[in-house]
Amino acid sequence: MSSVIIHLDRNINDDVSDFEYLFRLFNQHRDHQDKHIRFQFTGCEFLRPNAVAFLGGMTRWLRHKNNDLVYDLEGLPNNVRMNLEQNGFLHTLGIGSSPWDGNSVPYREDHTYRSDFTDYLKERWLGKGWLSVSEDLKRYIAGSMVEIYDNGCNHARSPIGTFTCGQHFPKLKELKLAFVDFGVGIPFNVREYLKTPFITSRDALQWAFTPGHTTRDKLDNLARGNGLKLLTDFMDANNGKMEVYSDTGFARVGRGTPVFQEREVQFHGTFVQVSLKCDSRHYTLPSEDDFDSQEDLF
Amino acid sequence: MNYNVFEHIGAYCITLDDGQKVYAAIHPELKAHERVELDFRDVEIVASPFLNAAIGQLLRDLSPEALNTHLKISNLSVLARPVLARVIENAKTYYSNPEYHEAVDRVIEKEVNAVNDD
Repeated sequence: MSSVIIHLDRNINDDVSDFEYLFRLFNQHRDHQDKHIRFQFTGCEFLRPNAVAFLGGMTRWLRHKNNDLVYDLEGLPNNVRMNLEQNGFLHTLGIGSSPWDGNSVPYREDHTYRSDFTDYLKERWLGKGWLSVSEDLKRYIAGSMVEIYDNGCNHARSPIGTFTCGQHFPKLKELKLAFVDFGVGIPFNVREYLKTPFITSRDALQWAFTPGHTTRDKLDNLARGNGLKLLTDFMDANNGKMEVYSDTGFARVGRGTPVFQEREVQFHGTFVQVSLKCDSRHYTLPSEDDFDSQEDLF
Repeated sequence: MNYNVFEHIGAYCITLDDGQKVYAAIHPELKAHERVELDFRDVEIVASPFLNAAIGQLLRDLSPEALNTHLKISNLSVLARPVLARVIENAKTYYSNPEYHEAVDRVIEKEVNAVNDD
């Protein structure tokens, strides 16, 4: 077995350039097979939850390809190690102590759909008192977000499942949740569904964000496609932000005009990050239709 | 027929498979012009994949008028109602005109190809 070192040599925030740094790192190493791989973190003093979720996925991907992986814990800066222990990342990989309660939304991996993901969203993401949000609204947000998870588990064709991690940033007054699968990506599914290879990833993402559009209804013959729209409405109404990276497409909704871009760095999978403001105001639902009348239901 | 969703599915109504179970139970009743009450008491979270399968799918072969007459949905939380409204709106468009979806796809495909050719 030959040896490879994967070196995280900088802090990883959650700007576009940080995501692209992670994607480049993955693209550079994704084809390794039957190798000794060592993760080194010298130069990396800080990891945001997007990086934690992504590293978890990258680890599982490389193990899936029969590589032998080692994390260089000796060289791990203290604050990075503490972060990775507190959110349960190292423990999940079998190389660290049990996680403890803090500002993290715990790291988790799901190889198949698990119904306790809803509890995780409700209690570990939304239920810690970081957001001024009613029980009902908590259920609404969790219900919308769990559809993204359902897609990742059941439709993304990710051989290693999905990876989630979050963090509350008290100084920034922000709550983040990062979710990644290593499947075929939204643009691939859209191209396959529309039977054309010519759609750019940007256009494919824009298509997927359009209400009622889904790549799945030909399979199950059902009208589908509401999750992204529900989350978009919620972000718009509450100064939240959702970013999606898939293939070379990038989408950002909330906090201004929606942005759809074609990027240079490709990621064969889908990465969703949701950022919510933790200010003192109560969150609201984008629109509450009056449903008291049964006559108008259908 | 009174169908208690919590008893059959639980507090979380998320997946298409669970929605399909509800559909399988209520669809024959509605087809036979029987009254059905779908009771969401104690259900905590309702997501659109579930609603698409359980309720949206009814519009495949039942008219909105028939559903308004025979299907009563009770105790659905206030915040799940807009989700159901969107599901119904989407399903009405989709099932009322089988050509609709493919037509939309064809138009979008042409537009996207035109942009790419520029």
